[in-house]
Amino acid sequence: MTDDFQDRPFNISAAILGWLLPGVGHMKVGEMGRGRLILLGVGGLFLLGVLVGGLDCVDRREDAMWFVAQSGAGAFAFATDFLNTNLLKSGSFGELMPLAVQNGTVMVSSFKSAGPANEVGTLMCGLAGMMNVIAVLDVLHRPYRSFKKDATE
Amino acid sequence: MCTLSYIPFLQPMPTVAHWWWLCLIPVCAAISVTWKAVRLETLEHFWRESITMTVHSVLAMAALAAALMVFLRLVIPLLPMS
Repeated sequence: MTDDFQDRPFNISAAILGWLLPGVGHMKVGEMGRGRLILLGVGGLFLLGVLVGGLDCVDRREDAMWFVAQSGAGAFAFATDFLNTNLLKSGSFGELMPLAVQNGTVMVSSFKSAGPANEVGTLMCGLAGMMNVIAVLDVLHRPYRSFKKDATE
Repeated sequence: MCTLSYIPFLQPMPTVAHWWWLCLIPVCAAISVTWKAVRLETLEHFWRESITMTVHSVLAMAALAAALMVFLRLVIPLLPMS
């Protein structure tokens, strides 16, 4: 710790920012390099999950328990769920096809993912959310740092 | 709209079933980058630490998978059947 640090025991606003957009909470407390790296790690993992599993791997309604973990990535998770609902489930992209289920048939998108692609994509997005929760908990107690002196410099 | 071609991010990636286990490497790399960004006091040796953690994680997972394979293929068949 140097004189640049000012003890701020509870950074609620930085934690909320860090949850909404991974890494931004650290940027707010002056840790620009750390924030960029968190954005790279969490954002990269989340986008890789969506790349592997498609938009359908984030689904607030059908995979509610997974979404609890994925929602840790904040805007990434909610934006992907919104796009899944409005692009795939509405039939704007792909086609809606009937799928036989226990109580009859439901219409599902032809872009719906299944099998290993869905499992791996869902897991990656869930891991990204949980890693961001760790980053949010870290920034909650991280002291403010002068913007002039970045830890990477 | 053409539904025959693969559209990244909208559709699931094709042929993942054949190489899904390779996803372990980017997953470990991303987790290491985030973890080290949070835990290191200074970011002076950040990339060296992250790469080391990635390699350790991947090797540990591979060793665990090998141990489980040995257990399933060699040890379990030796158990007496009731």
